[in-house]
Amino acid sequence: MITVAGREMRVSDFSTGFRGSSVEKEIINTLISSGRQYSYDSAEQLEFELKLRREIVVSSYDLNKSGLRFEVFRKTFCNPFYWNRTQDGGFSLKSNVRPSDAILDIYRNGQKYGTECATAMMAVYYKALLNVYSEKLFNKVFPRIELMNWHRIDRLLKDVGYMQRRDDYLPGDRRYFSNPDVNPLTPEWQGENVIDLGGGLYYGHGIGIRRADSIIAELNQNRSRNADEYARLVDSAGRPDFKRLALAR
Amino acid sequence: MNFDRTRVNDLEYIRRTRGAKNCRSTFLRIAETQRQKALALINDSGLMFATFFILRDEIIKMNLREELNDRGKTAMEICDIILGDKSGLPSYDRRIDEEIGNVRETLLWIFGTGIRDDGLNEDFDQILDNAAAVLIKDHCESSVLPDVIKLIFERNRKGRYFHDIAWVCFQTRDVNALRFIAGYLRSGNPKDRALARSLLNLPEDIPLRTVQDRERRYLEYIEWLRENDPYIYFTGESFQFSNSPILCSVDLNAKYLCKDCAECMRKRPIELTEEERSKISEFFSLTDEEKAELARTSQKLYKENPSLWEQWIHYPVDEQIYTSRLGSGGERV
Repeated sequence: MITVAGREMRVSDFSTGFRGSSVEKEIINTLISSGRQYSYDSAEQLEFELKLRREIVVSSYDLNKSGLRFEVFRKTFCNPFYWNRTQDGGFSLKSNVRPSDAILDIYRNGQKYGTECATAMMAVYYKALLNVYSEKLFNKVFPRIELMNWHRIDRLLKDVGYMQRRDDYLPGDRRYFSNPDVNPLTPEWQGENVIDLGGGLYYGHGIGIRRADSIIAELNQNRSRNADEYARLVDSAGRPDFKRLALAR
Repeated sequence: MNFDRTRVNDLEYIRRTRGAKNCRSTFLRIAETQRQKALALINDSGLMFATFFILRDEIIKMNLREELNDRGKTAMEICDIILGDKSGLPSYDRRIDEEIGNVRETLLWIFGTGIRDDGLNEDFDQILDNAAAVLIKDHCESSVLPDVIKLIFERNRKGRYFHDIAWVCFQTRDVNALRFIAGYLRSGNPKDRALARSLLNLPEDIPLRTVQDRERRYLEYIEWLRENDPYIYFTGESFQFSNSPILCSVDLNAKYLCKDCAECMRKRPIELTEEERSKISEFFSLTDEEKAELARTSQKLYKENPSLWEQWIHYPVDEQIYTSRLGSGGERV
């Protein structure tokens, strides 16, 4: 159920004049049919979440096409014009460049970057916010950017790192496929961070855009000798605090 | 670092005092004129893995590979397997075959003598991590655990990548790992304490500033561990998964039933039989706080008076809670 300013919304409220994409429609249908109450203070707050979720999906498709390479943290590389590579394999924004340009460069010159799936997820979230905010606002809100995994993360995006069981899973969520019996020589296959794209599809960096069973099959190929557990989609998701991000506008 | 010149392998001594480049050129010079001496040096039991590692190209160049001892041949093979190209796509056949001679001993040599040179370069560090992972996952070798934990904290202090080696640590599913990590709650280094707190999933606001605070928290944790040891299982969560992974947890069902989690290899919560399910069906409906309280009472009673526990466990849950709160040790009131 969705409530906006205390009023319950129905599907019909979105049917006339609503120009949402299929992603937004999927989100609305899931929220409305949910047993859980999703409350928004205003229509704008709901619209912001729908728009940002849509842009997370769009940015995932775009990153998949960018030429960004997969590399383990030990072997990551980045365009040194915009980023410093940190000792632990993450990327830290250079002080003399605009954050928006640095994020866009990952998308425009993907071949100059190689990194693990978690870093790619963070790039997706930043690019989606750049699409939603104006460039000026983006640069004001995120003057320093660190891309690694969930451990050096902007306070506005830290909730992406918290994995929690959810009543409903939505496009734009960060999900995780776990591979408990991974081959010890390839720990990078211990799991795959993905973005839920809706329609049963997921984007994982290095693995591409696939359905859950295909990702699980790939992970299962990378299990250890004598493995007795299969890979699986974990029943939890990380998602940004959309309301807080809306307030930053 | 000072070395006893008379006891250290010559190549080892040269690398440590004059650097890798000098060590390589010296080894080449010896191999060109005194092949047997070069082989004796590289096959020497006192050689550390780091020195062997930096001489791999020279060993190949001088066609010495086939004349290495078993340890050397196996180490070369392990390096080839680990450092082979694995960018992007999965390598289905990437395995350190158990058929390779003395693989376990060689992995122990690689890791045990290699950690003192951790940070040599990314390839070297990767070999250390992978060697530890294979020892723990494929060979169930827990003896490396203290060194694995030491490595995690050393890398963290230096701001280096430690998430894979932390993952390896919890793959042991050995409660001793928690005990070793708890020791770092007493560290004078705030980075150690913060990481120990994170790995042990302790609240961020627990005070660890003074020596007394640290000692108290450490002892509290060890006491908690003593009580819960048999009921701890490892969740499989990692730093790849979350910024606050819960790496292990207490299985309250197991604690309530006094069933050891080792039955499930500490891989997951215990699997209950139908009979056990029905026996504790009321327990399932309790709040987490009530479950924790009752599980604690059950475990204590089981330890102190097993025959009384046998009766108590069949009481209705509300009566168990009542006796638990009275502290009557399970005696019907």
